[in-house]
Amino acid sequence: MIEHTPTLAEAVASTPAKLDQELARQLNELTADEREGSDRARLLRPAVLEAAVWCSAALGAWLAVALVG
Amino acid sequence: MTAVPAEDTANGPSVHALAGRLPVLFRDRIYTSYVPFLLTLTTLAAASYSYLVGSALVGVGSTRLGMIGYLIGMVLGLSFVSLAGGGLSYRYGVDTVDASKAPLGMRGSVALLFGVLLCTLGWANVLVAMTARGAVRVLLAGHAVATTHQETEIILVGLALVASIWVLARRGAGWMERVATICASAQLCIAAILFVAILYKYGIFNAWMTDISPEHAYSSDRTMQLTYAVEFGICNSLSMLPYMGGLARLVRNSRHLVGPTILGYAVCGAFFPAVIGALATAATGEAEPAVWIIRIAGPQAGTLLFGAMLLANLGAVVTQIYLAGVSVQQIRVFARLPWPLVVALVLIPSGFVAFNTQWVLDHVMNWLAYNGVMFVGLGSVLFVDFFVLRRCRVQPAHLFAARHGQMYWFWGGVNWVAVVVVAAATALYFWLFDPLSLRVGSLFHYAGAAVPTTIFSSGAYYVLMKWLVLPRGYGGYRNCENIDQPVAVEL
Repeated sequence: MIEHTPTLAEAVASTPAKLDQELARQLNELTADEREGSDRARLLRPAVLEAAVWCSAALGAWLAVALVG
Repeated sequence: MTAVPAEDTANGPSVHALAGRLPVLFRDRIYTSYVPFLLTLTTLAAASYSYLVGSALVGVGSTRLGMIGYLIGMVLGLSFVSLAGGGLSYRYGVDTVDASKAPLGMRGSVALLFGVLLCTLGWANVLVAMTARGAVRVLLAGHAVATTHQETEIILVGLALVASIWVLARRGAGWMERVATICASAQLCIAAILFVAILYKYGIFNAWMTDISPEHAYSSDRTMQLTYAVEFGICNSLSMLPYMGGLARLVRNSRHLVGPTILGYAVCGAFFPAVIGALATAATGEAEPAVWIIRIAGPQAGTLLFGAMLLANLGAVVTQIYLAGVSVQQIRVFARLPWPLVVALVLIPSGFVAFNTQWVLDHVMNWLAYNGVMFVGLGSVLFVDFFVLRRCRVQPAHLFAARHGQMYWFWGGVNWVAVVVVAAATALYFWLFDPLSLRVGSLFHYAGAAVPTTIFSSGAYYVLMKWLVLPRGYGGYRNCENIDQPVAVEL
Protein backbone atom coordinates (compact mmCIF):
# COMPACT_ATOMS: atom_id res chain seq x y z
CA MET A 1 0.00 0.00 0.00
CA ILE A 2 1.35 3.41 -0.92
CA GLU A 3 1.00 5.96 1.88
CA HIS A 4 -0.11 9.44 0.87
CA THR A 5 2.46 12.03 1.84
CA PRO A 6 0.82 15.46 2.09
CA THR A 7 2.24 18.12 -0.21
CA LEU A 8 3.39 21.42 1.25
CA ALA A 9 0.18 23.09 0.06
CA GLU A 10 -1.96 20.39 1.75
CA ALA A 11 0.07 20.55 4.93
CA VAL A 12 -0.20 24.34 5.04
CA ALA A 13 -3.95 24.22 4.38
CA SER A 14 -4.56 21.77 7.25
CA THR A 15 -2.24 23.56 9.67
CA PRO A 16 -4.34 26.44 11.10
CA ALA A 17 -6.99 24.20 12.68
CA LYS A 18 -4.40 21.80 14.10
CA LEU A 19 -2.31 24.64 15.45
CA ASP A 20 -5.26 26.39 17.04
CA GLN A 21 -6.31 23.10 18.71
CA GLU A 22 -2.77 22.61 19.96
CA LEU A 23 -2.72 26.21 21.21
CA ALA A 24 -6.00 25.71 23.10
CA ARG A 25 -4.65 22.49 24.65
CA GLN A 26 -1.41 24.16 25.79
CA LEU A 27 -3.33 27.13 27.22
CA ASN A 28 -5.73 24.86 29.10
CA GLU A 29 -2.81 23.05 30.64
CA LEU A 30 -1.11 26.34 31.52
CA THR A 31 -4.29 27.74 33.10
CA ALA A 32 -4.94 24.53 35.06
CA ASP A 33 -1.36 24.59 36.30
CA GLU A 34 -1.84 28.21 37.49
CA ARG A 35 -5.17 27.44 39.16
CA GLU A 36 -3.84 24.44 41.05
CA GLY A 37 -0.93 26.52 42.23
CA SER A 38 1.49 23.77 41.19
CA ASP A 39 3.92 26.36 39.81
CA ARG A 40 4.08 28.44 42.98
CA ALA A 41 7.71 27.43 43.48
CA ARG A 42 8.51 28.81 40.05
CA LEU A 43 7.18 32.28 40.75
CA LEU A 44 9.41 35.19 39.96
CA ARG A 45 10.35 36.29 43.47
CA PRO A 46 13.88 34.73 43.44
CA ALA A 47 14.59 36.41 40.10
CA VAL A 48 13.35 39.79 41.34
CA LEU A 49 15.46 39.55 44.50
CA GLU A 50 18.54 38.55 42.53
CA ALA A 51 18.04 41.41 40.07
CA ALA A 52 17.67 43.84 42.98
CA VAL A 53 20.98 42.65 44.46
CA TRP A 54 22.83 43.03 41.12
CA CYS A 55 21.24 46.43 40.50
CA SER A 56 22.18 47.74 43.97
CA ALA A 57 25.73 46.45 43.57
CA ALA A 58 26.08 48.20 40.20
CA LEU A 59 24.68 51.50 41.50
CA GLY A 60 26.95 51.29 44.57
CA ALA A 61 29.97 50.62 42.36
CA TRP A 62 29.05 53.56 40.07
CA LEU A 63 28.83 55.90 43.05
CA ALA A 64 32.06 54.58 44.56
CA VAL A 65 34.05 54.92 41.33
CA ALA A 66 32.59 58.39 40.68
CA LEU A 67 33.63 59.53 44.17
CA VAL A 68 37.09 57.93 44.08
CA GLY A 69 37.64 58.92 40.44
CA MET B 1 6.00 24.46 12.36
CA THR B 2 4.17 21.35 11.17
CA ALA B 3 7.34 19.73 9.90
CA VAL B 4 9.86 20.18 12.68
CA PRO B 5 12.74 17.75 11.96
CA ALA B 6 12.64 14.33 13.61
CA GLU B 7 14.84 15.06 16.58
CA ASP B 8 12.67 17.91 17.83
CA THR B 9 9.39 16.06 17.44
CA ALA B 10 10.50 13.04 19.43
CA ASN B 11 8.73 14.11 22.62
CA GLY B 12 5.28 14.72 21.17
CA PRO B 13 3.34 17.60 19.78
CA SER B 14 4.04 20.04 22.61
CA VAL B 15 7.58 20.38 21.25
CA HIS B 16 5.99 22.34 18.37
CA ALA B 17 5.99 25.20 20.85
CA LEU B 18 9.81 25.34 20.75
CA ALA B 19 9.82 26.22 17.05
CA GLY B 20 6.70 28.33 17.10
CA ARG B 21 4.55 30.67 19.13
CA LEU B 22 2.70 28.12 21.27
CA PRO B 23 3.35 28.63 25.01
CA VAL B 24 6.24 26.45 26.18
CA LEU B 25 5.17 24.52 29.29
CA PHE B 26 7.69 24.16 32.09
CA ARG B 27 8.20 20.44 31.39
CA ASP B 28 9.17 21.15 27.75
CA ARG B 29 11.75 23.85 28.46
CA ILE B 30 15.29 23.15 27.29
CA TYR B 31 17.34 25.23 29.75
CA THR B 32 17.13 23.06 32.85
CA SER B 33 20.38 24.15 34.48
CA TYR B 34 22.48 27.29 35.00
CA VAL B 35 25.41 26.85 32.61
CA PRO B 36 23.70 26.17 29.24
CA PHE B 37 21.63 29.37 29.51
CA LEU B 38 24.74 31.28 30.58
CA LEU B 39 26.62 29.97 27.51
CA THR B 40 23.80 30.89 25.09
CA LEU B 41 23.86 34.45 26.41
CA THR B 42 27.67 34.45 26.28
CA THR B 43 27.67 33.57 22.58
CA LEU B 44 25.11 36.30 21.82
CA ALA B 45 27.38 38.95 23.33
CA ALA B 46 30.84 37.59 22.56
CA ALA B 47 30.68 37.78 18.77
CA SER B 48 33.29 39.80 16.84
CA TYR B 49 31.60 43.14 17.50
CA SER B 50 32.30 42.95 21.25
CA TYR B 51 36.04 43.37 20.53
CA LEU B 52 35.23 46.48 18.47
CA VAL B 53 33.18 47.85 21.41
CA GLY B 54 36.27 47.36 23.59
CA SER B 55 38.36 49.34 21.14
CA ALA B 56 35.75 52.12 21.20
CA LEU B 57 35.83 52.21 25.03
CA VAL B 58 39.40 53.48 24.91
CA GLY B 59 37.92 56.59 23.27
CA VAL B 60 36.27 57.76 26.48
CA GLY B 61 39.70 58.98 27.52
CA SER B 62 40.62 56.61 30.35
CA THR B 63 41.03 52.91 29.54
CA ARG B 64 40.42 51.97 33.18
CA LEU B 65 37.28 54.06 33.65
CA GLY B 66 36.04 52.92 30.25
CA MET B 67 36.18 49.26 31.24
CA ILE B 68 34.89 49.66 34.81
CA GLY B 69 32.04 51.92 33.69
CA TYR B 70 31.09 49.60 30.85
CA LEU B 71 30.78 46.65 33.28
CA ILE B 72 28.71 48.74 35.72
CA GLY B 73 26.39 49.82 32.89
CA MET B 74 25.98 46.29 31.58
CA VAL B 75 25.12 44.86 35.03
CA LEU B 76 22.76 47.73 35.82
CA GLY B 77 21.00 47.48 32.47
CA LEU B 78 20.72 43.71 32.41
CA SER B 79 19.33 43.44 35.95
CA PHE B 80 16.45 45.56 34.60
CA VAL B 81 16.19 44.05 31.09
CA SER B 82 16.21 40.43 32.29
CA LEU B 83 13.02 41.13 34.27
CA ALA B 84 11.35 43.65 31.93
CA GLY B 85 11.88 41.53 28.83
CA GLY B 86 11.86 38.08 30.39
CA GLY B 87 9.41 38.17 33.34
CA LEU B 88 6.12 37.51 31.58
CA SER B 89 7.71 35.23 28.97
CA TYR B 90 9.29 33.08 31.67
CA ARG B 91 6.09 32.82 33.69
CA TYR B 92 3.80 31.90 30.78
CA GLY B 93 6.22 30.48 28.18
CA VAL B 94 5.24 32.98 25.50
CA ASP B 95 7.41 34.83 22.98
CA THR B 96 8.50 38.47 23.50
CA VAL B 97 5.90 39.84 21.09
CA ASP B 98 3.03 37.84 22.62
CA ALA B 99 4.17 38.98 26.07
CA SER B 100 4.03 42.62 24.95
CA LYS B 101 0.33 42.31 24.04
CA ALA B 102 -0.68 42.77 27.68
CA PRO B 103 0.90 46.25 28.00
CA LEU B 104 0.80 47.44 24.37
CA GLY B 105 -2.46 45.91 23.16
CA MET B 106 -3.04 43.23 20.52
CA ARG B 107 -2.20 45.59 17.64
CA GLY B 108 0.24 47.78 19.56
CA SER B 109 2.58 44.79 19.93
CA VAL B 110 3.40 45.13 16.21
CA ALA B 111 5.84 47.87 17.31
CA LEU B 112 7.82 45.31 19.29
CA LEU B 113 7.62 42.77 16.44
CA PHE B 114 9.26 45.42 14.26
CA GLY B 115 11.92 45.98 16.95
CA VAL B 116 12.61 42.25 17.36
CA LEU B 117 13.04 41.68 13.62
CA LEU B 118 15.12 44.84 13.26
CA CYS B 119 17.51 43.78 16.02
CA THR B 120 17.75 40.05 15.35
CA LEU B 121 18.09 40.34 11.58
CA GLY B 122 20.12 43.57 11.76
CA TRP B 123 22.78 42.14 14.07
CA ALA B 124 22.71 38.70 12.41
CA ASN B 125 23.40 40.29 9.03
CA VAL B 126 26.14 42.53 10.41
CA LEU B 127 27.79 39.36 11.72
CA VAL B 128 27.34 37.58 8.38
CA ALA B 129 29.01 40.53 6.63
CA MET B 130 31.83 40.73 9.20
CA THR B 131 32.45 36.99 9.08
CA ALA B 132 32.43 36.77 5.27
CA ARG B 133 34.89 39.65 4.86
CA GLY B 134 37.08 38.43 7.72
CA ALA B 135 37.12 34.84 6.45
CA VAL B 136 38.29 35.94 2.99
CA ARG B 137 40.99 38.05 4.62
CA VAL B 138 42.17 34.94 6.49
CA LEU B 139 41.94 32.69 3.42
CA LEU B 140 43.85 35.13 1.20
CA ALA B 141 46.41 36.15 3.84
CA GLY B 142 49.81 36.52 2.15
CA HIS B 143 48.38 36.28 -1.40
CA ALA B 144 48.21 39.28 -3.73
CA VAL B 145 44.66 39.18 -5.11
CA ALA B 146 42.78 41.71 -7.25
CA THR B 147 39.93 43.57 -5.46
CA THR B 148 37.25 42.28 -7.89
CA HIS B 149 38.38 38.69 -7.35
CA GLN B 150 38.35 39.28 -3.59
CA GLU B 151 34.75 40.57 -3.72
CA THR B 152 33.68 37.39 -5.58
CA GLU B 153 35.26 35.28 -2.86
CA ILE B 154 33.44 37.31 -0.18
CA ILE B 155 30.09 36.67 -1.92
CA LEU B 156 30.79 32.93 -2.14
CA VAL B 157 31.85 32.70 1.51
CA GLY B 158 28.81 34.78 2.52
CA LEU B 159 26.42 32.46 0.66
CA ALA B 160 28.13 29.37 2.15
CA LEU B 161 27.69 30.96 5.57
CA VAL B 162 23.97 31.58 5.00
CA ALA B 163 23.54 27.94 3.92
CA SER B 164 25.37 26.72 7.08
CA ILE B 165 23.14 28.90 9.27
CA TRP B 166 20.03 27.39 7.65
CA VAL B 167 21.34 23.84 8.21
CA LEU B 168 21.91 24.54 11.92
CA ALA B 169 18.84 26.71 12.65
CA ARG B 170 16.35 24.42 10.83
CA ARG B 171 16.78 21.84 13.63
CA GLY B 172 15.00 24.08 16.13
CA ALA B 173 15.67 25.16 19.72
CA GLY B 174 17.63 22.06 20.78
CA TRP B 175 20.28 22.59 18.12
CA MET B 176 20.34 26.32 18.73
CA GLU B 177 21.26 25.60 22.35
CA ARG B 178 23.94 23.04 21.34
CA VAL B 179 25.54 25.31 18.72
CA ALA B 180 25.51 28.20 21.20
CA THR B 181 27.21 26.07 23.88
CA ILE B 182 30.00 24.97 21.53
CA CYS B 183 30.53 28.47 20.11
CA ALA B 184 30.51 30.15 23.53
CA SER B 185 33.12 27.69 24.83
CA ALA B 186 35.29 28.40 21.76
CA GLN B 187 34.84 32.18 22.17
CA LEU B 188 35.86 32.06 25.84
CA CYS B 189 38.95 29.94 25.01
CA ILE B 190 39.99 32.38 22.24
CA ALA B 191 39.46 35.36 24.56
CA ALA B 192 41.54 33.66 27.31
CA ILE B 193 44.40 32.96 24.86
CA LEU B 194 44.38 36.57 23.64
CA PHE B 195 44.30 37.85 27.23
CA VAL B 196 47.35 35.75 28.16
CA ALA B 197 49.12 36.86 24.95
CA ILE B 198 48.58 40.57 25.82
CA LEU B 199 49.73 39.89 29.38
CA TYR B 200 52.89 38.18 28.12
CA LYS B 201 53.77 40.66 25.38
CA TYR B 202 52.87 44.04 26.88
CA GLY B 203 52.25 43.41 30.58
CA ILE B 204 48.74 43.95 31.86
CA PHE B 205 49.69 46.99 33.94
CA ASN B 206 51.14 48.83 30.94
CA ALA B 207 48.06 48.21 28.81
CA TRP B 208 45.72 49.03 31.74
CA MET B 209 47.47 52.36 32.41
CA THR B 210 47.75 53.40 28.75
CA ASP B 211 45.23 56.06 27.66
CA ILE B 212 44.73 57.65 24.28
CA SER B 213 45.90 61.24 23.85
CA PRO B 214 43.47 63.78 25.42
CA GLU B 215 42.76 65.50 22.07
CA HIS B 216 41.29 62.23 20.73
CA ALA B 217 39.23 61.47 23.87
CA TYR B 218 35.47 62.07 24.10
CA SER B 219 36.06 64.00 27.31
CA SER B 220 38.88 65.01 29.61
CA ASP B 221 36.56 65.17 32.65
CA ARG B 222 36.82 62.01 34.83
CA THR B 223 33.13 61.98 35.84
CA MET B 224 32.09 62.42 32.23
CA GLN B 225 34.41 59.61 31.06
CA LEU B 226 32.81 57.25 33.61
CA THR B 227 29.28 58.33 32.64
CA TYR B 228 29.98 57.75 28.93
CA ALA B 229 31.23 54.23 29.67
CA VAL B 230 28.25 53.42 31.94
CA GLU B 231 25.88 54.67 29.23
CA PHE B 232 27.56 52.50 26.57
CA GLY B 233 27.07 49.49 28.86
CA ILE B 234 23.39 50.28 29.49
CA CYS B 235 22.81 50.85 25.75
CA ASN B 236 24.32 47.44 24.93
CA SER B 237 22.22 45.74 27.62
CA LEU B 238 19.02 47.40 26.33
CA SER B 239 19.62 45.77 22.95
CA MET B 240 18.95 42.46 24.77
CA LEU B 241 15.32 43.48 25.43
CA PRO B 242 13.87 41.98 22.21
CA TYR B 243 15.88 38.74 22.67
CA MET B 244 15.09 38.22 26.34
CA GLY B 245 11.52 36.93 26.11
CA GLY B 246 12.28 34.42 23.35
CA LEU B 247 15.03 32.90 25.50
CA ALA B 248 13.34 33.26 28.92
CA ARG B 249 10.40 31.11 27.72
CA LEU B 250 12.88 28.22 27.37
CA VAL B 251 14.17 28.48 30.99
CA ARG B 252 12.71 26.08 33.57
CA ASN B 253 13.81 27.57 36.91
CA SER B 254 13.43 31.24 37.85
CA ARG B 255 16.81 31.09 39.67
CA HIS B 256 18.37 30.62 36.23
CA LEU B 257 16.84 33.74 34.72
CA VAL B 258 18.82 36.73 36.05
CA GLY B 259 22.21 35.33 37.16
CA PRO B 260 23.14 33.60 33.87
CA THR B 261 21.91 36.63 31.92
CA ILE B 262 24.21 38.99 33.83
CA LEU B 263 27.18 36.64 34.13
CA GLY B 264 26.80 35.25 30.59
CA TYR B 265 25.88 38.32 28.58
CA ALA B 266 27.46 41.10 30.65
CA VAL B 267 30.56 39.56 32.22
CA CYS B 268 31.69 36.63 30.03
CA GLY B 269 30.21 37.70 26.70
CA ALA B 270 30.48 41.49 26.56
CA PHE B 271 32.92 42.63 29.25
CA PHE B 272 35.71 40.03 28.90
CA PRO B 273 36.19 40.46 25.09
CA ALA B 274 35.70 44.23 25.44
CA VAL B 275 38.53 44.35 28.01
CA ILE B 276 40.75 42.44 25.58
CA GLY B 277 39.75 44.77 22.72
CA ALA B 278 40.42 47.84 24.89
CA LEU B 279 43.79 46.58 26.21
CA ALA B 280 44.89 45.50 22.73
CA THR B 281 43.92 48.87 21.23
CA ALA B 282 45.63 50.74 24.05
CA ALA B 283 48.78 48.61 23.65
CA THR B 284 49.00 48.44 19.83
CA GLY B 285 47.13 51.59 18.76
CA GLU B 286 45.05 49.48 16.37
CA ALA B 287 41.23 49.24 16.66
CA GLU B 288 40.62 46.51 14.06
CA PRO B 289 40.74 43.00 15.67
CA ALA B 290 42.09 41.41 12.47
CA VAL B 291 45.13 43.69 12.72
CA TRP B 292 45.87 43.63 16.45
CA ILE B 293 45.35 39.86 16.82
CA ILE B 294 48.10 39.22 14.26
CA ARG B 295 50.37 41.79 15.93
CA ILE B 296 49.84 40.19 19.34
CA ALA B 297 49.81 36.48 18.45
CA GLY B 298 52.03 36.51 15.33
CA PRO B 299 51.05 35.86 11.68
CA GLN B 300 50.31 32.12 11.93
CA ALA B 301 48.76 31.79 15.40
CA GLY B 302 47.00 35.14 14.90
CA THR B 303 45.42 34.06 11.60
CA LEU B 304 44.32 30.79 13.19
CA LEU B 305 42.80 32.56 16.21
CA PHE B 306 41.05 35.12 14.02
CA GLY B 307 39.62 32.34 11.83
CA ALA B 308 38.33 30.46 14.89
CA MET B 309 36.82 33.69 16.24
CA LEU B 310 34.92 34.19 12.98
CA LEU B 311 33.67 30.61 12.98
CA ALA B 312 32.41 31.03 16.55
CA ASN B 313 30.19 33.91 15.34
CA LEU B 314 27.86 31.18 14.06
CA GLY B 315 26.51 30.66 17.60
CA ALA B 316 25.21 34.23 17.82
CA VAL B 317 23.80 34.22 14.28
CA VAL B 318 21.97 30.90 14.73
CA THR B 319 20.44 32.13 18.02
CA GLN B 320 19.34 35.41 16.41
CA ILE B 321 17.84 33.64 13.40
CA TYR B 322 16.00 31.20 15.71
CA LEU B 323 14.49 34.12 17.66
CA ALA B 324 13.57 35.96 14.45
CA GLY B 325 11.95 32.76 13.12
CA VAL B 326 9.76 32.45 16.23
CA SER B 327 8.76 36.12 16.26
CA VAL B 328 8.00 36.36 12.54
CA GLN B 329 5.23 33.78 13.11
CA GLN B 330 3.17 36.65 14.52
CA ILE B 331 2.36 37.13 10.84
CA ARG B 332 -0.24 34.39 10.47
CA VAL B 333 0.96 33.06 7.12
CA PHE B 334 4.40 32.28 8.63
CA ALA B 335 2.76 30.34 11.48
CA ARG B 336 1.33 27.91 8.90
CA LEU B 337 4.66 27.13 7.24
CA PRO B 338 7.09 24.33 8.16
CA TRP B 339 9.89 25.57 10.45
CA PRO B 340 12.75 24.94 7.93
CA LEU B 341 10.87 27.07 5.40
CA VAL B 342 10.33 29.83 7.97
CA VAL B 343 14.11 29.81 8.65
CA ALA B 344 14.82 29.94 4.90
CA LEU B 345 12.50 32.94 4.46
CA VAL B 346 14.03 34.74 7.43
CA LEU B 347 17.46 34.19 5.85
CA ILE B 348 16.52 35.78 2.50
CA PRO B 349 17.88 39.23 3.55
CA SER B 350 21.15 37.51 4.51
CA GLY B 351 21.42 36.21 0.93
CA PHE B 352 21.33 39.82 -0.29
CA VAL B 353 23.80 40.81 2.43
CA ALA B 354 26.32 38.33 1.00
CA PHE B 355 26.41 40.50 -2.16
CA ASN B 356 26.69 43.81 -0.28
CA THR B 357 28.80 43.12 2.84
CA GLN B 358 30.66 46.43 2.83
CA TRP B 359 27.44 48.42 2.48
CA VAL B 360 25.96 46.58 5.49
CA LEU B 361 29.02 47.31 7.62
CA ASP B 362 29.03 50.97 6.56
CA HIS B 363 25.32 51.67 7.07
CA VAL B 364 23.54 49.06 9.22
CA MET B 365 25.90 49.23 12.19
CA ASN B 366 25.28 52.98 12.50
CA TRP B 367 21.55 52.79 13.06
CA LEU B 368 21.91 49.76 15.33
CA ALA B 369 23.63 52.21 17.72
CA TYR B 370 20.12 53.52 18.39
CA ASN B 371 19.01 50.24 20.07
CA GLY B 372 19.17 51.83 23.50
CA VAL B 373 17.00 54.76 22.42
CA MET B 374 14.40 52.43 20.96
CA PHE B 375 14.06 50.16 23.96
CA VAL B 376 14.53 52.32 27.06
CA GLY B 377 10.88 53.47 27.19
CA LEU B 378 9.54 50.10 26.11
CA GLY B 379 11.49 48.34 28.87
CA SER B 380 10.00 50.67 31.49
CA VAL B 381 6.47 50.06 30.21
CA LEU B 382 6.93 46.26 30.18
CA PHE B 383 8.41 46.26 33.68
CA VAL B 384 5.86 48.53 35.38
CA ASP B 385 2.93 46.88 33.62
CA PHE B 386 3.78 43.28 34.57
CA PHE B 387 5.51 43.63 37.93
CA VAL B 388 3.67 46.64 39.42
CA LEU B 389 0.24 47.03 37.80
CA ARG B 390 -0.49 43.34 37.13
CA ARG B 391 1.46 41.88 40.08
CA CYS B 392 2.96 39.18 37.80
CA ARG B 393 -0.40 37.82 36.57
CA VAL B 394 -2.03 37.85 33.14
CA GLN B 395 -4.64 35.68 31.44
CA PRO B 396 -2.45 33.79 28.90
CA ALA B 397 -5.41 32.77 26.71
CA HIS B 398 -6.26 36.42 26.12
CA LEU B 399 -2.78 37.00 24.66
CA PHE B 400 -4.00 34.85 21.74
CA ALA B 401 -7.48 36.37 21.41
CA ALA B 402 -7.18 39.15 18.83
CA ARG B 403 -10.81 40.27 18.79
CA HIS B 404 -12.51 43.51 19.66
CA GLY B 405 -13.65 43.63 23.27
CA GLN B 406 -11.15 41.06 24.58
CA MET B 407 -9.03 41.75 27.66
CA TYR B 408 -5.96 43.29 25.98
CA TRP B 409 -7.79 45.22 23.28
CA PHE B 410 -7.68 48.71 24.96
CA TRP B 411 -8.58 51.35 22.30
CA GLY B 412 -8.71 49.79 18.81
CA GLY B 413 -6.19 47.12 19.81
CA VAL B 414 -3.60 49.66 21.04
CA ASN B 415 -2.77 50.90 24.53
CA TRP B 416 -2.18 54.53 23.52
CA VAL B 417 -0.90 55.42 26.99
CA ALA B 418 2.03 53.02 26.47
CA VAL B 419 2.64 54.43 22.98
CA VAL B 420 2.74 58.03 24.28
CA VAL B 421 5.08 57.08 27.15
CA VAL B 422 7.46 55.21 24.80
CA ALA B 423 7.49 58.19 22.39
CA ALA B 424 8.14 60.66 25.24
CA ALA B 425 10.91 58.43 26.63
CA THR B 426 12.59 58.29 23.21
CA ALA B 427 12.46 62.09 22.91
CA LEU B 428 13.85 62.52 26.44
CA TYR B 429 16.68 60.06 25.79
CA PHE B 430 17.63 61.91 22.58
CA TRP B 431 17.57 65.21 24.44
CA LEU B 432 19.96 63.80 27.03
CA PHE B 433 22.22 61.81 24.68
CA ASP B 434 22.67 61.11 20.98
CA PRO B 435 24.58 57.78 20.78
CA LEU B 436 25.96 58.43 17.30
CA SER B 437 27.15 62.04 17.53
CA LEU B 438 27.80 61.66 21.32
CA ARG B 439 26.10 65.05 21.92
CA VAL B 440 24.97 65.23 25.56
CA GLY B 441 22.46 67.26 27.61
CA SER B 442 23.24 68.93 30.95
CA LEU B 443 21.83 66.11 33.15
CA PHE B 444 23.97 63.51 31.37
CA HIS B 445 27.12 64.56 33.24
CA TYR B 446 25.98 62.95 36.52
CA ALA B 447 23.28 60.41 35.70
CA GLY B 448 23.69 59.48 32.02
CA ALA B 449 20.60 59.23 29.84
CA ALA B 450 19.07 55.77 30.35
CA VAL B 451 18.65 55.97 34.15
CA PRO B 452 16.72 59.30 34.23
CA THR B 453 14.68 58.22 31.19
CA THR B 454 13.75 54.91 32.86
CA ILE B 455 12.72 56.66 36.09
CA PHE B 456 10.68 59.26 34.19
CA SER B 457 8.94 56.78 31.84
CA SER B 458 8.19 54.26 34.64
CA GLY B 459 6.62 56.99 36.79
CA ALA B 460 4.69 58.53 33.89
CA TYR B 461 3.32 55.14 32.78
CA TYR B 462 2.21 54.22 36.30
CA VAL B 463 0.44 57.54 36.90
CA LEU B 464 -1.24 57.69 33.47
CA MET B 465 -2.43 54.08 33.66
CA LYS B 466 -3.87 54.59 37.16
CA TRP B 467 -5.58 57.76 35.98
CA LEU B 468 -6.77 56.88 32.47
CA VAL B 469 -6.94 53.10 31.96
CA LEU B 470 -7.64 51.28 35.24
CA PRO B 471 -10.81 53.27 36.15
CA ARG B 472 -12.29 52.38 32.72
CA GLY B 473 -11.75 48.64 33.31
CA TYR B 474 -9.58 48.23 30.20
CA GLY B 475 -6.60 45.87 30.02
CA GLY B 476 -7.73 43.26 32.60
CA TYR B 477 -5.84 44.89 35.47
CA ARG B 478 -8.54 44.23 38.07
CA ASN B 479 -9.61 40.75 39.20
CA CYS B 480 -7.58 39.17 36.40
CA GLU B 481 -7.49 35.76 38.13
CA ASN B 482 -11.25 35.71 38.70
CA ILE B 483 -12.15 36.14 35.03
CA ASP B 484 -12.95 32.65 33.82
CA GLN B 485 -14.95 33.22 30.66
CA PRO B 486 -14.10 30.99 27.65
CA VAL B 487 -12.24 32.79 24.90
CA ALA B 488 -11.64 31.89 21.24
CA VAL B 489 -7.89 31.64 20.70
CA GLU B 490 -5.93 31.51 17.45
CA LEU B 491 -2.38 31.99 16.25
